[in-house]
Amino acid sequence: MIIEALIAVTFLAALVTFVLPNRYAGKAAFALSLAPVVGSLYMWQQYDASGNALLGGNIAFETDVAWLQLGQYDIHWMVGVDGISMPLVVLTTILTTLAIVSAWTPISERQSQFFGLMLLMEANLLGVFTALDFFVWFIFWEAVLLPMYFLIGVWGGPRRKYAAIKFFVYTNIASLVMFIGFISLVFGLGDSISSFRLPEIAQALQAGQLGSFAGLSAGALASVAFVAMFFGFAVKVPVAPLHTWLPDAHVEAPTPVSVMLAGVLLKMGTYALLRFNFTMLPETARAFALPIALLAVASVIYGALLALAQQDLKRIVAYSSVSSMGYVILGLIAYTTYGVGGATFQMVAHGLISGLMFMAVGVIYNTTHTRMVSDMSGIADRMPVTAGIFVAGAFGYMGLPLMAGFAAEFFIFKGAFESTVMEAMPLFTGAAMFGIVIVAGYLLFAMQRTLFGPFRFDGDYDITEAPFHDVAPLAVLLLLTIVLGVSPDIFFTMIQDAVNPILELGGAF
Amino acid sequence: MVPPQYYLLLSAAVFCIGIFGLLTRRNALLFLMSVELMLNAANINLVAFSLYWGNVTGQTFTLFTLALAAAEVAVGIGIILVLYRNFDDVDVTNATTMRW
Amino acid sequence: MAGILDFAPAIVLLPFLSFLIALGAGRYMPKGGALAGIGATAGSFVLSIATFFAVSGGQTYNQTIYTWAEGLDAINLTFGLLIDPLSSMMLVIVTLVALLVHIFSLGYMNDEGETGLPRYYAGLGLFTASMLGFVVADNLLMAFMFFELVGLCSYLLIGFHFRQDGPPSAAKKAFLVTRFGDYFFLIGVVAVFATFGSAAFAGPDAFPVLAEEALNGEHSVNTFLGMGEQAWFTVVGLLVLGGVVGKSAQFPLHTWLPDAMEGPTPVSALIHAATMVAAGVYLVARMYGFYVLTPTTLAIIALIGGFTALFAATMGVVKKEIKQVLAYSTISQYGYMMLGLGAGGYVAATFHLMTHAFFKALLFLGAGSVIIAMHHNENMWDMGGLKDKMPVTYYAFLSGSLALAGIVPFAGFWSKDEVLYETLIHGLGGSPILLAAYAMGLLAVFFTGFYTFRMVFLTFHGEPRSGTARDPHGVRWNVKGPLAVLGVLAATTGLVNMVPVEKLFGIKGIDFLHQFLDGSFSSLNAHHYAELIPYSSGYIGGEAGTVAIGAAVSLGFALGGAALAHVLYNVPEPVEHTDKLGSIKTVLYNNYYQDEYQVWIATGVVQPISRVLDKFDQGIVDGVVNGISSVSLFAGGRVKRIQTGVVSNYAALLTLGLTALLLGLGLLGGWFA
Repeated sequence: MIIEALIAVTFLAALVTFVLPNRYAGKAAFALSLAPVVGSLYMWQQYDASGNALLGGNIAFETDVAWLQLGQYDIHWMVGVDGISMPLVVLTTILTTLAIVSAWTPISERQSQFFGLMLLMEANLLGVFTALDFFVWFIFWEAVLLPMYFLIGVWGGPRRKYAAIKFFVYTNIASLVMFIGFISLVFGLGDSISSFRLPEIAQALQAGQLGSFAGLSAGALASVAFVAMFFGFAVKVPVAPLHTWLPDAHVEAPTPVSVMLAGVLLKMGTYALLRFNFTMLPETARAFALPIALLAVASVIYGALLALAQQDLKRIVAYSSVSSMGYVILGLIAYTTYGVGGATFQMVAHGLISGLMFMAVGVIYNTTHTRMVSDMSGIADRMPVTAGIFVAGAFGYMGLPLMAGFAAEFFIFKGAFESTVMEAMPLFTGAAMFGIVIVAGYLLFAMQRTLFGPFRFDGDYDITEAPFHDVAPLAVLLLLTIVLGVSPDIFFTMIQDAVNPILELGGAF
Repeated sequence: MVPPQYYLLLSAAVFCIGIFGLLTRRNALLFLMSVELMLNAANINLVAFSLYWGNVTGQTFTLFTLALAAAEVAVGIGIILVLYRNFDDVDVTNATTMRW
Repeated sequence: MAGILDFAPAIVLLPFLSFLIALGAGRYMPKGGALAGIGATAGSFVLSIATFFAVSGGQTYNQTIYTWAEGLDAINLTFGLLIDPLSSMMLVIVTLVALLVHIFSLGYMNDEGETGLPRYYAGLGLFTASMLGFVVADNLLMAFMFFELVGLCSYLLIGFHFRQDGPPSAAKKAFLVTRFGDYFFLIGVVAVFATFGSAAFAGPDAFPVLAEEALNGEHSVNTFLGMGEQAWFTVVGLLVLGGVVGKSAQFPLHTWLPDAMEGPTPVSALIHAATMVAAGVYLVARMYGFYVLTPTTLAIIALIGGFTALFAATMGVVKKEIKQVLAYSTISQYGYMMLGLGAGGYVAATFHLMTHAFFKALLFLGAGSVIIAMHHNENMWDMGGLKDKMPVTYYAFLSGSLALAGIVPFAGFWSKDEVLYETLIHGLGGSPILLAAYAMGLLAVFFTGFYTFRMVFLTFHGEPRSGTARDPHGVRWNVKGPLAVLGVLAATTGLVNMVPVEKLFGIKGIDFLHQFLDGSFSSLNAHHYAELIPYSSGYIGGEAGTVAIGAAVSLGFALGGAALAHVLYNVPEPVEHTDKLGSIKTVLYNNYYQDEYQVWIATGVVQPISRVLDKFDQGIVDGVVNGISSVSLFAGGRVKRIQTGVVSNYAALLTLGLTALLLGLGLLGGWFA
């Protein structure tokens, strides 16, 4: 019941925050958001699952009750976590709390609504990562979009409406395509399933129950469904060339919203890819290994090169997210312990590090009111602590050893290199790894021009060190990044435990 | 007994008159009247088939429809009054503010 | 295995602790945290010495101490310590140089009133700790991780004066260029894991041993891309070599190192002598058992080394700043070490690594002392005549210069001579590539002698050429102390391995370093490597004759260079004789335009590509997305025109629609048939 309690408490917190007066909303939301943090940490501490939730593993904190009847299908309220979702639940609660703190300074109007929406989004995100029934999962999946739409559309920058609508429509169309793909699988399974529970569907697919549907043979149906779902999730990840909503959304969104967007929302896409495409249709995924690996490499290199061309600090980080998420795709297609496990680890690692980078850019923006590289230099002179954390975070993003990003990237590279899905995987891995050089290039260039050199600022604002509550979340994230980098086993053991059954499906060992 | 074809012809004639009025008139009151004609054409059918099958359900239904038509007229007249107040006319083609 | 070696982790942890202390509490401490650093490195030094003697006594240590990532159904990634003669020797070098640099920094940084000292000492502590972690690493992954941390520290320290324009730029360049090399290294690490399932340097599944057994056909390993084992090992070796070339500043990735002179001089000493640059060469020595298996890689290492030695030495000839000369001499000297390793002279290269650490640290600290005296003017043409004003610095610097130039009996002579000797005999044994590399190395000896003494004469001899040189700033004990220690070491460390004396006069048992490096794990000792080397030896007039000829030739070249410098520059009013070189000087002064083309690749190729891609992304990729939305909006705008607001039109549409529906149904349903 703890998952229900977690989601319910977060919903309640959102409701309470909605009706509070604006001046107390931020502090109250922070205090209320500590409850899910404690809850998720308690879950992590009590975690006792083994295996993959979809493939007959032992699911932690499982609830499974029949809820509605829809034709031949029962809809179940089924939630639970395994080694893949547990780290993401922890990431979501912690990152939301930190994002709420980082919103104290920049959000100066309609605070109660802002913080209420943040908590509402957190509740839905927790639902996405814990739901194990497709119907329930899909409701949460779509419900995440709404708070995000308002958060960008109301508190965003000058082009907020464009960005919010683009984000909403783009991801919504993608969801529709994904939905069609998934439902066609459900119909193809025919009478072999009696509910939308994901474990049941995954196991029926493994048992070879997929029949023909709408004139397509089972194999063709699997391919069509795979492509449709891949498209749907790839927009969310985002995989180049479906990424263009991301920089716009990031640039217009206020800092805390960017943190949530890059830190957690993008992981919905990769999480769903792993849960649906790569777990349910492994043979099809292997058959599509070449185009998927190509997309992964393209995302990494293309995203990184685009980041190099940007002048806006936030756009730099936004495009580098495209690059980093490309590694996740590369790891997923590898079908090795270190590849898929590393990809899952990268979801958490990138969540922390991109959150850190967006927050750091936000703290500088709070003071300077500009994010343009050309508008400033030598900021480190006036904001030494922020600059120090920025440098540390940037090196984390570049994959500095003993920080979470390196662990994730190394696992992925190692897993992808020794992958057996394709003869040429070492070449793809080598090509994708060149991203670590470009990422160093643009971050070092950006830091040299904004943080270092003689102090210069084209603006009327007084540049001083940021207040404690702006810097504290940065420090917490940095600490978490280092802890995970020094001891990746905190999550990596449970991740591998949940990932290995997926690999056995295709005999990857 | 009059064969049902005659009733049906009458009803179709009344309905067509109603449609014709609806498509050609611009006065809202005439609109209302045309709609009433079409409604009554339907009523004639109900009553005629009721008689033909010897079943009073159709006639009962017609009574309801008449009551409904009265209510509809009340609402319709109200709308026409508002229309007149806003546009100083009861010409329906003038009231085009609810377009794209 | 018990005993002093169990304390080996503390050697790494002590400087790390000083990093934390300096970072956290440095500003509240006297000397800005320097004392914590000095204490920690002194402790590490004492432990290293103890370790060194324990290893001399035949002890070794190879233990996994931390499992970084535990693989379920996959291999574990671990951290461990490997203490053998090579690493224990390096531990002593690194801790000693780090200790002296810390002490010297009291004079160079604290006494000069620098700000940000806690940051400086934190950086030094982390730098030392990272390098020590790299030295003791027992597997390639751990080595890579600390290798990268070394890179981070160099970034932080080179860019220490971040309020100016130059240092941040130099720091960025240093990190980026070495990162480019590390990219290949990382692929190499991944490839080693994928090939052997282990990246340990020693022990039962040491990858060099596995590779050797695989080549002997004892068992098979995974190879990729359809390559045979020999070809694949060559590829892996070259990939790892990428990191070495970057960090050890070998051609063509040497360009970051001269720029790195923007960092404070003690940091330069640390980078050049004991930490960052040494890391690359040390890595080759560490996994030498793997490199000796692939003759192609060895030949490439030798060629890169020989070429870099000569190439860098020629550029050192024309530089104006004292630190620039030293920077190019560093590149050149590491070229010798690479040459030695590539030519099969494992002991010789290690020997040169050791002697170079001492004399290069000495020269940099000496230069630092001169720079303090000159009020931070580094231009040698403004110096002159400092010999009488700062005798301690002068004699220490002279000792280091004699070692660098390779004049008997100073340290550099013995080690450089052995490198060249190994190259020569293996070249004579039938390897024209090595002979070519030998020729380049030998020519570089001449240039080394010349630029070294040009620097000495310009700085210390002749008449003072500026006001500051006439009345230099004095230096204190904390500068002179380290100089004295290193001055003695630079003069004497060559005596630990007097191979020429042994060979010429038949005195057995004075090649202590050879004996020391033989006493390791059976797969890691010099003896084992010597058996595997794919070269045969050839001699001119017997072994002793070759030794004598080689030593005489290289000494002759060095003395020739020094003599030329003496003639040209040891005069009261020297002039820039290098001007006579004309356009050659311009080329040399601009470093053969190596920087230009690399900057051009970054700003003239990659940046325009990224801008074009940005246009492409905004125009085409996003254009398609926005285009779809525009088409929808346009179509909607047209279709909505039906909504005229005229009720009659709606009624007409309704009627038409109904009619159409009826007709359609009728046609489909066959009513009119």
